[in-house]
Amino acid sequence: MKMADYKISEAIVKGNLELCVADTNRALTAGVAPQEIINNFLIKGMEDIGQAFQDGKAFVPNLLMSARAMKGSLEILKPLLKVDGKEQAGQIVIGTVKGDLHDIGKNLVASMLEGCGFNVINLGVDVSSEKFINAVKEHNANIICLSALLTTTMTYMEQVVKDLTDAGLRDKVKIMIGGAPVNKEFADKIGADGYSDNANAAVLLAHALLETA
Amino acid sequence: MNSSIYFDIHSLKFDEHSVYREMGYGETLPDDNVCNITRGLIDSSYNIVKPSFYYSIFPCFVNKESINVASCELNTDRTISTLLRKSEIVALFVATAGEEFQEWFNSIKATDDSLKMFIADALGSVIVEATGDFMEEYLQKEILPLKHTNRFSPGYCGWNVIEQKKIFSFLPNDVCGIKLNESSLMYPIKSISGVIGIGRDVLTKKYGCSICKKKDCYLRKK
Repeated sequence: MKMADYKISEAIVKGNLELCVADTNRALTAGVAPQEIINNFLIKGMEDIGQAFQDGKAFVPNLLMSARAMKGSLEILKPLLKVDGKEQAGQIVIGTVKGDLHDIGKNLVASMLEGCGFNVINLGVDVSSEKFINAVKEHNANIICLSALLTTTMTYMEQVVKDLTDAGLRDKVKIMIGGAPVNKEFADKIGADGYSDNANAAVLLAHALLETA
Repeated sequence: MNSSIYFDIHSLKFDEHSVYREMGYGETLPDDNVCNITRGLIDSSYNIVKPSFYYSIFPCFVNKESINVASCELNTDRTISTLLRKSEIVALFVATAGEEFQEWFNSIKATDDSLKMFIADALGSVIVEATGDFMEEYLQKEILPLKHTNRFSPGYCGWNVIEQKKIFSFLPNDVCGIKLNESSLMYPIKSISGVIGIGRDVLTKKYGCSICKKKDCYLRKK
């Protein structure tokens, strides 16, 4: 069977969980490696729906259904990846900063990172600097992802960067930021290591920062 | 006004299209699946949700970047204080979709159905804003012949969300069942608080993007 015969990417774009799971199982039965399924289908499907969203041809519910389909496939693949003996791409702590309750974009980024082999610890919303720092220590995180949607809460990111430095963790963890009001200039200004404006770019950035791409 | 006003959700002006717009669809109609879930949630909300609001009126003095209410200075930033210009008194308010909505939302969240959660979240936002509109109509009847400005809330147009604590210091404990956490965020989540200017010659224009200097705001209309 040719790779093109599997409709995993298309199922992700359509948000069709059942088809995604069925075709993932078919591909595995035919001997396609789990990592190959992730690289060739899951990431492509999420890239395509992400692009459709950027082009105004898809909406947040489409992204959520696509993420659900991708997660369905990932649930099957994850245990097999461990059997393969491959290590996780990295440990990532992610959360929406203190004072902010918005989490849709942050959760999509978390799903995408997970789908691409990272171990993701999602701290949720309204996360204090202290909680971020404790999570970085507890999980020995390689990357911390900070999200904010409000202009009045994005400033808290700088506090987290400062507190990580004060805690002596700044050299051990890379800092990524995202959210509608932030940009690369803001990331540079507060001393973060990078900024991304969508879930796919966040994965690429995470790999680049850890040199795991 | 000395007590929270609870009222029937049917009094609110919203429909499924309001929820679609809140989800970012504009005037586009979502697919059947999203439409069906939305209609189902709206139907359920009619049996569950008990919205409410409260406001209290105080004398005020409007400064360049803040307003003084009694001995308290609300640091609203320039955009909002400009829009409150000519206010003779202000109403400090809260409005909420209510504890019942929050409990219902929590139960949806527990199912881990992210799509339903997203739609319920959008519905909650629509309900609380419609509650705010309903409150403004109520207020208008009470203050005649004076006029009122639009409502302005901490968290927007440069008014820091921490200032929510100052607003709550003027309101009764547990007003409309709303509590502030240590980050000054309200629970139930679908609640709003803020200020409305009142006077003979107050400005009534929306605090839309054209008058706000926050170019990086996520609500900014392109």
